[in-house]
Amino acid sequence: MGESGARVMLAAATALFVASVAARASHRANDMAATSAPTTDNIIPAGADRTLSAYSTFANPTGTLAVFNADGPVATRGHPFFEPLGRNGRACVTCHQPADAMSLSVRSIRARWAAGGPKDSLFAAVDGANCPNLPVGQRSSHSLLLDKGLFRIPLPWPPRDPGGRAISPEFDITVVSDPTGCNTDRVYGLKSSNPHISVFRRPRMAANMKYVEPERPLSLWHIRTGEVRPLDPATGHRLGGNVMSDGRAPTLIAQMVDASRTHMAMEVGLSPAQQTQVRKFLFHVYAAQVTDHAGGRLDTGGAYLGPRALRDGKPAVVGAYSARPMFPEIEGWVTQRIASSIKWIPLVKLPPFPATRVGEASETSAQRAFRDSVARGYLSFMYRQFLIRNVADLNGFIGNPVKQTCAACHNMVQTGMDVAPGYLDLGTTTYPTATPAPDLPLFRIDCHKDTPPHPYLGREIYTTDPGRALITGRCADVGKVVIQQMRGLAARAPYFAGGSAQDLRAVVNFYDARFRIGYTQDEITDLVNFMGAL
Amino acid sequence: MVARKWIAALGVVISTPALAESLAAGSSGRPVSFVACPEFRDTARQCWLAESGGKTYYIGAFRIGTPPQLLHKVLVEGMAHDDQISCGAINIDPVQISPLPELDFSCDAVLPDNGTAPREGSLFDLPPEVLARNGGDVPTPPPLTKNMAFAVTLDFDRTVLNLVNQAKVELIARTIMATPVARVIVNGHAGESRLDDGSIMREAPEIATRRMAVVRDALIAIGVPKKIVEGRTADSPPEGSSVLGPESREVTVDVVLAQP
Repeated sequence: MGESGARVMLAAATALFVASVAARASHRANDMAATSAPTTDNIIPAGADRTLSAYSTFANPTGTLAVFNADGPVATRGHPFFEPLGRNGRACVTCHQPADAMSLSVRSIRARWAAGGPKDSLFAAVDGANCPNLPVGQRSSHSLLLDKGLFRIPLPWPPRDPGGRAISPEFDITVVSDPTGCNTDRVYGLKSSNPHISVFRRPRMAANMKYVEPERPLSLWHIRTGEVRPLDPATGHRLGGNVMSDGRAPTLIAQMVDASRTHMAMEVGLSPAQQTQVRKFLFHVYAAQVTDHAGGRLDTGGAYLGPRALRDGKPAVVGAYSARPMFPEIEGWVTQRIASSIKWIPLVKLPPFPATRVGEASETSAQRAFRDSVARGYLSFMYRQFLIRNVADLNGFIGNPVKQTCAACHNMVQTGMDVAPGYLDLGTTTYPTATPAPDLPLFRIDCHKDTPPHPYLGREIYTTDPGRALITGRCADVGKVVIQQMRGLAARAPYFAGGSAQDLRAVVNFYDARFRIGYTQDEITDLVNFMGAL
Repeated sequence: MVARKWIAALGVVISTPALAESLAAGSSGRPVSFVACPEFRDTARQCWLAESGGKTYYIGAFRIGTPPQLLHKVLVEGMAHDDQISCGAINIDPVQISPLPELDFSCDAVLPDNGTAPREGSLFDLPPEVLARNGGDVPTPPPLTKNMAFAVTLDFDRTVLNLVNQAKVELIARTIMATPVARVIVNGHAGESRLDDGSIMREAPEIATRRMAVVRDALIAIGVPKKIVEGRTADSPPEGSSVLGPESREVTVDVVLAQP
């Protein structure tokens, strides 16, 4: 290479670096702007008389989310998803807002508090307060919802089987710390006449449901637990088990009946006709990010991200590295130049990628930096190996430790859910790996001697949310939470079932510490950009 | 053979623990049975090793099913081949690994790559037949023509059906469903294992009931009529079991045909 060639390369590298810094700075600026000026413009209140277009876009901190209704526009008036049908003025849409990827972001929760305070039914005392017995109207009474987007989920103790019979649990549970007061309350607590345990969780995304509840899951079995998947009595199909974080309602119908009785305070829950209407609606709604402030449209340059690709995809498909890309919508942005630049060790040999992507020569420097970053993050997600340890049930199934990648658990093509399905104790709510959360209750679990212990935490466990174990009563299930989908992430912070990661960087940092991966700051940025583009 | 082909058609990535069959057939190798901390060698093939009697054994690479677990001792049962070296250690094949349930924090050895294992190898790429089958049907087995006894061998002190046993139970259930059957008797056992040092490890008696329930419930969940399934338990190995090892902790499924 001659001197002039070297100068061109240096100039190009400098431009890329500057653009990369600009892109990151742009994201930070947008984050700050979004945090400082949230509005309720995009909120659909319960009982609103509007039309949800077939294709709607909503601004969020890093770009734009699109919600696509494959069944066409929907009039909200009279629709059971949008109408307040219970005693507390809430509708399904109260907690599943299109602008928030059919979930709910802290950003919009705070905007609603600023606009209407406790008069907004979102803050209903039943679960929108830290405990129903707290003073109405005070911010402190709703701090978990306002700070972390968490709703109170009271669960009976001991747990009940599907027939309503009490299950004899394999462990005793003790309230160690109760900052909300609800678990030690005489009316709502563990020692009340109607014993309940209150845990605090994020609402899940009610979109892309054909992936969440596929008609044909991968196999007859929960392959990790060795149990046969139950049948959906309505359809006769085997159930995937990915609808709720603890699996207490196995189907979308069961979930909406449960939610209508509890969160919406309906006497008998949604009628069969209403259930059918809501299910049909949700199975036509797809949500995903479509633009990025720095990178522009996410469905150009060879990529085809966005909700339409989700409509066209096949559910319950396992990604298998080069044989079946995890997010085929992004593959078009990966080039040989990017693949050659990685400095980590891939689990398997990377497949060949094209020399350039579509329209690369005409990309702006910011666009190029962003697309490169997303592509690097995607490669890292799919191929970067690290030792995964002490994750019940994953490591019991493939070895503890096991050298794998992010895609080992986030294995469902196009969504990053777990086909298996994904009850796992990643340690987001169990100590010592959970992020300290003094605002949440702390429970001690003492497993009985005649039952199998938790495989990596033993018989004495400290947790802010026992997860699946509150449904099954099994010690080995303590901390297990179902992996949720990775789409529309930019619109619905914070993350993890317990809201412990305020942003995507915190998500990556958690995994980095949990598995001692050793990401560089640039790698973390790439992963954040990749996840934000979904 | 039919069963093996059918299991292969399921397309699961398995290392079939045919230990009981190998022992019964008198296959080559030196029988070993010991309890040790597993050691993980951080190579591309992710070698699992265990030491016993001053020797280091290779007990497998990455695998799905019942793999070794750090933080747990494992019961290793199998046929050692002193002339076969894998990952720098004596190969045990076939091998059955049973991670013991209780935590043992002394079992936490991650060894560095020392060049004893191949560096290349895709360990998690699913086989083409799995990719092709993804969500598809499995073939229906032929109906039985006479009464038949099936056996499902479980890991020591455990009740979970691993991938191998999931395939076996599914095969048994679909065979029953394809056959006019009068009764299905599921027998759970608590077993034993004779270790190389002469001691005998015994399972807790109550595990027999849990094992029986796991297999019985799986058969019913797959579609075997509940009314024809009967569960029985014994806190001892199956009658006629001549080996203190995996065979002693079977769940047997006796299928009695309906009279024509």
